[in-house]
Amino acid sequence: MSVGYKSIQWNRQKLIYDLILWASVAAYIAIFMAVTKGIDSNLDIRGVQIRAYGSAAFLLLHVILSIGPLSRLSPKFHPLLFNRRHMGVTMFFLALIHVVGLNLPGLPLKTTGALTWYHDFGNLDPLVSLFVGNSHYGDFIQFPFEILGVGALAIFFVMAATSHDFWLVNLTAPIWKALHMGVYVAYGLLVGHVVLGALQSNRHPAMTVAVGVGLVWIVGLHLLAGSREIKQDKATLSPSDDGFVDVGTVAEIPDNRAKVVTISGERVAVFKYDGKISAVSNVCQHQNGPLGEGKVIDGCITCPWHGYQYLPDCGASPPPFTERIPTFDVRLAGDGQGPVEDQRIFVRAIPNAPGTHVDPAVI
Amino acid sequence: MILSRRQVHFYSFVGLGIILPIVFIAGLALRPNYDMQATDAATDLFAQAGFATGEDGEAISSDSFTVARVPIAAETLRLTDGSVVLDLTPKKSLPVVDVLVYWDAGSEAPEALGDEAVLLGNLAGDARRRFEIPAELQGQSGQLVFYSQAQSQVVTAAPFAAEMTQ
Repeated sequence: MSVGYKSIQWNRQKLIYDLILWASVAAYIAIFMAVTKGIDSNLDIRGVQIRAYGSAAFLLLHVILSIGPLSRLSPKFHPLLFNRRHMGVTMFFLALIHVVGLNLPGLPLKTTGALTWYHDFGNLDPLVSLFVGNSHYGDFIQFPFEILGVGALAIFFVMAATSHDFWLVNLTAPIWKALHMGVYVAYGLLVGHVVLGALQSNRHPAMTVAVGVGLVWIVGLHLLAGSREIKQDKATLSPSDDGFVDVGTVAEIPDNRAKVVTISGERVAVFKYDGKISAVSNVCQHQNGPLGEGKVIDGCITCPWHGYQYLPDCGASPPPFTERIPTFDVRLAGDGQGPVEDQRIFVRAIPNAPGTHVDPAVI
Repeated sequence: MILSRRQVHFYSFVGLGIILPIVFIAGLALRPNYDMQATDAATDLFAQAGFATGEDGEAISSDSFTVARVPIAAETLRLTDGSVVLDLTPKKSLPVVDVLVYWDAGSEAPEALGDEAVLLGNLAGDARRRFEIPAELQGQSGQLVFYSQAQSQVVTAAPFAAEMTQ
C-alpha cells in the first residue's frame, strides 16, 4: 500500500534479507576464488575474479528464477518473494562487474572485467573489439557468445533500472510484469553465453553437469508450475442463466482464508471471515500477486507477496491507502435444513468496478 | 499474475524447454579442440605487442600526464640487459582513436608531428604498456607526443625530462 511515492521504504525484514543476500554472495566469491586458486595456483587472479563474479551472477539468476515457481508450488517460499527485486539488482551488478570490473576510488576491492581481460590486447578500444572481434555470426559453435551476454546484461539493466515501485505504479502492474518477463529471454541468452563461451574452454565434467542440472531445474520447475496454472485456468466455471456461478460450499473454505476459482477465464478469491463470505479479484493491484493465497489479517485481505491489504467487502485498501480491486456479488443458498457449512456459495460472474462495496453473504 | 501473463510465462518456457536443451547438447557435441595450454611464447607475443609483461627492472623515475582528460602514469625502468623502457598506464581507455606515442626533440609542445619524431609504439586500452627508449634518446630532454593516427593530429604533448631516462 502506498499513500504517496517514497523513494526507499526500508524495514527490518528487508535489511535482514539484504544482509543475508550480500553475505552469501561475498562468501561464494571468496570460496570460489580460494578453491580455484587451491586447485591451480598458477592461474592469474584476475581471470579467476572474472569467473567468480560471472558464475555468482549466473547462480543467483537461478535462485531468482526458482523463487517464483516454488512459491506457486508451496506457500513456504513466499518470504523469498518479498525482496526478490533486491536479488535481481544485486545480480545485475555482479554481471556488470564480471564485464567491466570494479575499480572505484576509495574502495579497496578492485577487480578486472572480462572486457579488459579479453579485449584490451590490440589497437581497438575494448568496447569496439567486443563487437567486432568475432564476426562468426553465421556459425553456431563459433558464434560470438559475448554478444549473447551483452544482450542479457542490457535486459538486466532495464529490469534493475525499473525495479522500484515508482515504475511499478506508473507503468501499472501488467505492463511492468510484461517488461520484467524479459528475464526469461535473458536467461536463454545467458545459457547460450555459457554453453558457447565458458563450456567451450572449460571441459571439466562438474562444470558441464552443473550447467545442465541448472537448465533442467529451471525449465522443469517453470513448466511444472506453469502447467498447474494452465490446468487451473482451464477449469473455468461458467455462469448459469441468472449470471451466478456455483463455486462450492462454505465448508470448503477455512476461516480467514479463501478458495480460488476461475470464472470466465479470470481468477476470483472467495474469502470466509467473521461468519461472512466475500469475493474479490484474485489479482493484487501491486504486483498482481495471488490474493486468494493470502489470509484475512486485522479484517483485511492481505497479499502473501508483499502484504498489500484490502477490505473484503469493498476491495479497497483501508484509508489512507488508495488501491482498489474489483469485487463480486455473492449469495448463499441451501435447503435450510442441513448445517450452515453445507450452504453453497454463488458468485456473480461479472465483476463490479474496483472498490465497489458489496454486502457480504452472511453464513 | 493475470491470465495473459500466465500464458506468456508458460509458453515462453515451452519454447525455452525446446531450444535450450538443443543448444546445450549441440554446444557440447560440436565443441572443437582448442589448444588452451599457455606457453612462454604467449608472454613473448604480449611483450612484442607492447604490454609490460616482463621484468619490472630498476625504477629510474616517474611522472604523470593527462591525455584527452585521461590521467596516465609514467615510469621509466632500467632492465637487467641495460635497456631503458617507459611504462605508461592510462587510468582508463583513451577516448581517441589509434594513438601512437612519439618522442620529439624540443622544449615546446609541438602542434604537428616533427619530421625527426621517433615512434615509440601504440597506446590503447588501460593496460600497462611498455615502450623501449632508444639508446640515442636516453639522457635527452624532449617531448612525449601523443598522436592520433586516425585523426592525423597531435592529441597532446608532454615534456619528457632527461632525468627520466638516466
